[in-house]
Amino acid sequence: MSLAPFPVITALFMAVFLAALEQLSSRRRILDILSLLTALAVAAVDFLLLDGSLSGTDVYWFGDWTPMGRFPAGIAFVIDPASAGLALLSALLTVAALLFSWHHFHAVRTYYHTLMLLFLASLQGFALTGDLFNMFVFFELMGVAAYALTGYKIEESGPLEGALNFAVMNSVAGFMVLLGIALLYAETGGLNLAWAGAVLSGKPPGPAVSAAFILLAIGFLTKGAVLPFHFWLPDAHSVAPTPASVLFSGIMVQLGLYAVARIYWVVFSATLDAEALRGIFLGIGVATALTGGVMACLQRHLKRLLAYSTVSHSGLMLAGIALLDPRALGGTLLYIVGHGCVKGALFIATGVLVYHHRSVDEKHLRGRCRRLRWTGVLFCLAGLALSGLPPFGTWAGKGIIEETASQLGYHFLPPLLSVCAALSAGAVLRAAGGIFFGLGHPDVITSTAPATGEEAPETDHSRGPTPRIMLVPLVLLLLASLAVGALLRVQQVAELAAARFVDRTGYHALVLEGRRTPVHQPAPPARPGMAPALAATIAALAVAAFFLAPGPLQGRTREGVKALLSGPVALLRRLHSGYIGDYVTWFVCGTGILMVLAQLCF
Amino acid sequence: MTILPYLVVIELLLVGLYGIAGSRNTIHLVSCLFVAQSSTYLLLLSIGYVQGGTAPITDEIPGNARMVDPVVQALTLTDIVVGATVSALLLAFALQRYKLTGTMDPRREPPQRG
Amino acid sequence: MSGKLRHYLPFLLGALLLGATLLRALCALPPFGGYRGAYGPIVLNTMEPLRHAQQAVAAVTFDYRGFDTLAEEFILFAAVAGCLLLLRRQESEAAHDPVDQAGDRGDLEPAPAMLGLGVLMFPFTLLLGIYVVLHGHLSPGGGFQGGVLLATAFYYVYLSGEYGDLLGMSRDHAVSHLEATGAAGYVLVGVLALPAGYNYLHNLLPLGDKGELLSTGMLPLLNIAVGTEVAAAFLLLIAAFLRQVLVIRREKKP
Repeated sequence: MSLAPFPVITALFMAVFLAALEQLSSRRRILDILSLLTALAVAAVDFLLLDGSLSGTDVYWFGDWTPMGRFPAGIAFVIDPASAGLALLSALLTVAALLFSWHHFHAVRTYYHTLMLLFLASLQGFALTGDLFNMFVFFELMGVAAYALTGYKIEESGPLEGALNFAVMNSVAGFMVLLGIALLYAETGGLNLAWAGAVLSGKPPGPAVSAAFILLAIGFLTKGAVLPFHFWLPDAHSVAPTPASVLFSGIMVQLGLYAVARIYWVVFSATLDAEALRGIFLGIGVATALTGGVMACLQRHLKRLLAYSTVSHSGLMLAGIALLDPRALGGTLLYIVGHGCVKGALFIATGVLVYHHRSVDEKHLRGRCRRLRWTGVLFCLAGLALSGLPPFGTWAGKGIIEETASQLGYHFLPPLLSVCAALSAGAVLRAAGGIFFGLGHPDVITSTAPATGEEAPETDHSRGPTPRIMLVPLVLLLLASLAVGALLRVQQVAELAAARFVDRTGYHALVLEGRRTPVHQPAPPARPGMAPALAATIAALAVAAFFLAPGPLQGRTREGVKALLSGPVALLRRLHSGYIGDYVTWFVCGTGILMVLAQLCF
Repeated sequence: MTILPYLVVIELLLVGLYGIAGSRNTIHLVSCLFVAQSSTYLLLLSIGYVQGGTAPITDEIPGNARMVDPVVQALTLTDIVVGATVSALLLAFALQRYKLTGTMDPRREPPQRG
Repeated sequence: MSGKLRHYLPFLLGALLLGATLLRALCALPPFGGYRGAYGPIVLNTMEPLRHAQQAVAAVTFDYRGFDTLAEEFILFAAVAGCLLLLRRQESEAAHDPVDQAGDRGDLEPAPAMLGLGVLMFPFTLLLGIYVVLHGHLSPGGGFQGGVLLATAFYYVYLSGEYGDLLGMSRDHAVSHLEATGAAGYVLVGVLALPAGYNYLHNLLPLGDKGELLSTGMLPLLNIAVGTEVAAAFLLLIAAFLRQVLVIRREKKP
């Protein structure tokens, strides 16, 4: 019996089961234990699936609707190392989030646990499915659970506002996905990715096909928070409860990018002009990474800072995918895993601060957290890891992407990506320096930011030392990120996953005919270099030092820099206006331009 | 060749998006979202339409009758459920937000910026 | 005026480009009414021999693409959980006895005609809902549509002004348990196939004769599960919104 359906149906069933335990909602422990066990079980199944997929991709047809002739009339899960690996990551992050919320999180009846498990199920389904419409359905399930979790704290207007923006933008993105699905269905007559790809193989890209790709890509890139579709992310991630933010920033955004990559390689890669696509996506990716990095430096709301850092890293990942190269894709997969763990750790550390001080305002917290030594050390470590410090997973991923970019002739890319990573990591380190060590002075460039640092208590009691159970997921996530980078085996798996990912004909043969083609074993992995990564870390420290350190950057120099930057900074701030109407305007603008580019270039 | 259904699809989509972009009332915004969503229903259904086709129910219909595509109808059904549920959630946000801030206008209350 | 125009200029530009390119793409599709895709014919040709089904949309929804529908049902489930979470009582609010305290319609009693109509329509709508759920695999309709009809019957109670009764119906856990049962039912019907060595959601129940009430295997069961879930979900939704008007009051000005 195949284990393939279990990640989704276990999580769905347990979500319903917990919802039905409404009378028991006063007994928190039961809900905590059951949901944690569910997440662990899902993670175990995912691990087995990943392990099994290494020797050969597995296809699971729901309802035994195997292809008739060659036509797939049913829905298939396609379990290859990439999809199973991302599913495993999402399950592990859910475990971490649930551990953090263990007993200390202010849970309303059974809804928190139910929604978290529904969210987990949707992440699993979205990663594993090989069917376009099924992807859309899980996209929406993911959305609905996420909107509700974002608006969790109804006593404040911020979460409600953020959830509204999130829901509207992602619904509009959903329409784009649907329009794309409709176009693709009209062109190919099927909803299965492999079928659509097989029909399109070798055909010239007509206006309908290129429009279908761009619409699908825009839909999923909105989830992936890529410029100019990213505006909802800081609003939502900064106000969602900490455990939800861990999942949002750690895996949800990245799954959007994964979907774009999957659709491109399985369906469109033999049709569209790779060179044009590379140009478009690299441009968007770099712009996103830069914007996110700069905006992260301008924040004093810690969770908003982390959210912008997610935007920046999302751009970096898109750049990795945009190279359209198996090795870079392997690096991107590695980066997604490494970054997911680090970002989850950072959000959890911020959650610890909220637990103690009910604030996420960098200025308010400055110097107040000296006694939280362990949290401080871990926070700094996570900040360094974010910049790609060897041997964290972020180092391995980013290193591989950058080296591949150089090999492909994009020599401008490595330094640019390092700068972006350094910017947001520098912002995190600056915050850490101020909060845990009292460094710097209150008047930093960010002081013009609005004071939105107040947080309603997420937890019941906030006196005494940090509960151990909150630090456990923090340590575990950092260790996981360390393992991702340090273990050669993980890189091997990532490169195998990428090789399988781009093997378009093998995928088609397997799904449509059940025929296994021999797996091309990639060459033994070459470790990325240490020096560029260390340079990025030093750059991140320099960014932090610019904000914190006394000395040469004091006084007139700082004022000069401030005056120089004030114009672009004000413009950037004005663009991120917080109004949903503006967001939709930019969305439509970006969609129109991308559609025209696609019609002209492909 | 008729392109009228496609023109209506585009019109519904753009009108809905325009409404969201300029909305001064959250409930109006949710309605506009629904308008934009209905463009996707229409597109799905018009793609599967077969000239002179009947509903895809084979009861008491001669075997060689032309029928419209049943798959897009099933997809549209899913789409409608999605639209309805998201609207319910959005209205709940709008209600609680109104109670907190006393305004329905998404542009009235200073949001998080920058 | 010019300020307003400048404000809308990016939108107009984007909309123009989007509309034009979308039109170009749509015009490149097969002409309207001449669709020749493979999926529909395959379903229409195989559903009778393989599943004894006559309603292709139901066959696609619950059999060929039954897994989509599972997720779809849970979208509704998640939305209801989300709405109940969001529409909880805020800390600054208190629960009162369920009386209509909305200021703008304090004295507005529902007309006797509404009450009469509600009493008259309630049983018939309920019956129609049950019929549509049970015949979803034979005629247009099914769990989603029938479930909405079932909930509509209770909306007649609301229209007749019997808010208290409606709240009373949903106050104890019966309705939410019914909702959970419906949702869990779908998951479990799919699991039935696993011990027999089939894949999840394999339709292994007896298929019956085409056109019979008990035919097409698990489709009637799935329709009933979905119908239960949808009806209970919409009942919970209206109760949640109604509670905001009737029960929950602001205690003190913030």
